[in-house]
Amino acid sequence: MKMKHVFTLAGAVMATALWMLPGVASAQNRIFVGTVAGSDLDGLARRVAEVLAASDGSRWIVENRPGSGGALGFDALKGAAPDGTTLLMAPSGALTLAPHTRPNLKYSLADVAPVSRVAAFDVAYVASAKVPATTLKAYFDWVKQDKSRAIFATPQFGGIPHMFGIKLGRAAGVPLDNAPYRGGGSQLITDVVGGHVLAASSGVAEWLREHQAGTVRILATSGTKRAPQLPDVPTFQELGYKDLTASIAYLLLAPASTPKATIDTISARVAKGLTDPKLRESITSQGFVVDGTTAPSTVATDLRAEHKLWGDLIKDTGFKMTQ
Amino acid sequence: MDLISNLNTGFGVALSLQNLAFALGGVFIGTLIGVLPGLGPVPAIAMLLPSIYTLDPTAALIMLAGVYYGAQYGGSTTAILINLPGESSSVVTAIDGYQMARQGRAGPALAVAGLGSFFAGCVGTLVLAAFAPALAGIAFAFGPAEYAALMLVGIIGAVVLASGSVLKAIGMVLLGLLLGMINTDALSGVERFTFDIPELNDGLGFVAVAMGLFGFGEIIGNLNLPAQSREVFTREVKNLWPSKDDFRQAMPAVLRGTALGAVLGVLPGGGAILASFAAYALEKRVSSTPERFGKGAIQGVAGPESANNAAAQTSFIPMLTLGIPPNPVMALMIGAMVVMGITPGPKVMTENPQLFWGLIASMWIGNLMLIILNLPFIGIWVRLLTVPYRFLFPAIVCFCVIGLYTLSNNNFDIYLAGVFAAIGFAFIKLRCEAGPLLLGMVLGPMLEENLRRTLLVARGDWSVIITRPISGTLVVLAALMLVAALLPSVRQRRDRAFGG
Amino acid sequence: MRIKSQVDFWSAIVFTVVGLAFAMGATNYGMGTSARPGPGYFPIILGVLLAVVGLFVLFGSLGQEPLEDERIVSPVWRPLLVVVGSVFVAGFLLPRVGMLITLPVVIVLTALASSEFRWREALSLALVLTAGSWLVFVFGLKLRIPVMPTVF
Repeated sequence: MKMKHVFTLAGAVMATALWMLPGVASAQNRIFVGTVAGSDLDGLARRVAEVLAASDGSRWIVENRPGSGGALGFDALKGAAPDGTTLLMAPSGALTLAPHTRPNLKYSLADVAPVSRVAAFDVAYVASAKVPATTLKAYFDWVKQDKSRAIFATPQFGGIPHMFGIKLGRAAGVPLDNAPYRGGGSQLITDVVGGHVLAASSGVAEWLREHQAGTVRILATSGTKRAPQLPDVPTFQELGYKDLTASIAYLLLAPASTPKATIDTISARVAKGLTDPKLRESITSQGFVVDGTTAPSTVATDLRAEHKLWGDLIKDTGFKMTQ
Repeated sequence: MDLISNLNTGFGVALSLQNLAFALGGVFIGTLIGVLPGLGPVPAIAMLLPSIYTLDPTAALIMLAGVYYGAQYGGSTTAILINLPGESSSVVTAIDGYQMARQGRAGPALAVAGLGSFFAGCVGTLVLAAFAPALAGIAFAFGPAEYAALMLVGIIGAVVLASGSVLKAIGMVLLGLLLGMINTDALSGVERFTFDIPELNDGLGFVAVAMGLFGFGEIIGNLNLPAQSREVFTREVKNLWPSKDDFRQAMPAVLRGTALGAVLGVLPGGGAILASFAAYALEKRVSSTPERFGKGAIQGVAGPESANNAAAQTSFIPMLTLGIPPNPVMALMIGAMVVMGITPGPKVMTENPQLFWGLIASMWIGNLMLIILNLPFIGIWVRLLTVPYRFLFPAIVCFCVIGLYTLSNNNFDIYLAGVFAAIGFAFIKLRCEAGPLLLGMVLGPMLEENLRRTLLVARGDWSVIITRPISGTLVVLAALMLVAALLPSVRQRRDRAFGG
Repeated sequence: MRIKSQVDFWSAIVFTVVGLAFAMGATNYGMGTSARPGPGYFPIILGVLLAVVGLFVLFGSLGQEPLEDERIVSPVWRPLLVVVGSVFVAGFLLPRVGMLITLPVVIVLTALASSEFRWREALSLALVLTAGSWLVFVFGLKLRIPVMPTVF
């Protein structure tokens, strides 16, 4: 086509862009997520965005800010106005554990105000089907026979599953070594199923399929109640480990100085949206326990308590970030 | 035979108008994403996810799959045309493909890439259909030791990639390996060489570095030439179609590449990229004229392209049969399947035969659509290259900058590409090849992590790597390759010493 | 002994310096043991290896006569500085003033790298590319790219 036509077209497009600008700006409600698009956290954030958008017709978008183990997501929240238009979706470990294990962290609990505990999941301790033990006790007996068996895999170094595994080892009197798998996912699962690493500690969600297929055995889960997707698997508490509870929650957070009223409104909208049975079902089938109803102030208190718990463990074990 | 009746079911599903439309849509979006520098399939798929929840599961998966291998193919297009590999597996294609484009042979390069990919896709799909469960077993035989050994083979192979001085290539690979260690150590959480920059905690982004080294560096290099030499693309644009000679040379490469890719694609993590340059290394070894590699040898395009498309198909195997996603795109697809109430895993084949076989059949159709869609485009792409360079290169920079931003919604990647643009130009001047560096950077972290994990599990016993059958074989292979790579230069020195 | 190949000589310098730099930096991170390598283990080994390779290349680059085709031709500075500069400008501006301002600026700036630069051509190119980018990336693919200024 002739250059003249190209220019006219371009000019028209630019005019449209400029015309659309004010509309776009005013409707800019965002949920930041500290992982790449497609992760579990991201998926949940997108559902929350849909719920919020549906509840009052506003526009909500998810913006991924991956990097530095989720820290960049918190960075993005820092610059945001505390008026309920900008939120962050993050895992609880980032606030309760990371500040103890990562020395240069530039955010803390004080920077955020929890809005909603959208969903949570337990930590599962899993053994490969190649391990001749079907209960946790049998597993530890088996490990005691040969110290080289005392290894468990985790999706990363220094996260909640890792710490939990260490706690478990101490409680059982069988110190366990950790083999981290950066980013978790496929190689972690394949190595456990293949028997190269014989046990793992990570979120329940990852193991549901393998457990049902019989290629791994979830020995116990870390909740106060049994995981809804695994009615036959005992909790650590049931097995006698009274202090061994942990959960990883995916939280909706707002900048710290956001007014309480705004937080409560958003929390209510999320809670209402999460009552939809189809939505609940699909989130549960992924391995989560849907929440949304815990009051923001309770969530905040719980977080502080958890923060202290992990801090005590770190001090006890003298855990440091170097080999 | 069971297979045939299953395929029948599959085609019945795939050939419905709705599913055909979704396949076409997916492939189109995928190609667009692949061609636009920097954009990967993940963010785009994530955008599409919400609408996927409302679609019929089979249709949704067909579309997602189309986006996936459409993006693979699109990435090769930019690699050939402007030396910009869109994906790690396209790096190898850029080496000879871009040289072919410079010689006015962009058309044949694109055509061979497309046809080779199509052939590999067909074979890959067939392998998927017939051997899925058996091949899934391979993935489990590979533990940390095997992966470490495989990465070692890959790294030595990266040396073979270079067409110049072997010693300098080794240096570049080492440099790449070192650059790959700028990150948070996987096994101890220590932040290495990050200078307190949080964006470096996850390592140097591949796309940013590749764009800087290959894309921008090349632009600066071109601008260093007098104006006439820049328009070299337009000068002698020969046929758009490969010659009979081209076909004759490319065919064996396609076959070998397909075989390699089909096997390597099953391995979670790294299968596709290893496949593409294992194919390149193989072609170079097998060729009677290895010195042509790096200067526009058509086997250097045919082999890797077939390999990475075959790998793209067989990489569905762990996902479909085991529910294990080998890469982020598959993870998204699994997420979508779960949401739609389908549990991927061994039972998918029996519980959801419509879905499973429909997907397989539509993969074949998708590959067919890709080739139908893209072959006519070859003419357009080549015409695009005839645009005067002073218009072309700002456009390339513009799209690259945007693409870089969309990677993590962060301008850091743009800065990174800028830094590597300067570095890339320096390397061009120093005649150091960037390919081995980039591959070292990608493989290094995987090698280190797996090696240290092997030692962890084996309680510090290094001999495990050699005593385990698979990894032992691979280590021997790597050693042989190293010797083979160094031998010519050793012989050269000897000849010079004796012959004078 | 003279420099036979300038290209190889300077490549060798780069290898040796960078290798040593990595190796020295890596001493800050725990070495661990052979049985249990720490974060510094591989960087030190690889850094030293790189430096060694650098020395080999260095020796290979020395000889009697300088080879003509292995001389480093002095680069034309304008393309290098302009392209790298405009990429940095793009990185700086994009999150601050949005793409509708950044792209035209960067496109014109980049075009300056070519000796064939003409204002009218650059500006028209800027218009077309900015419009097209907005159409494809923001409107079409719905990507989250800042479009307008956030600074003021």
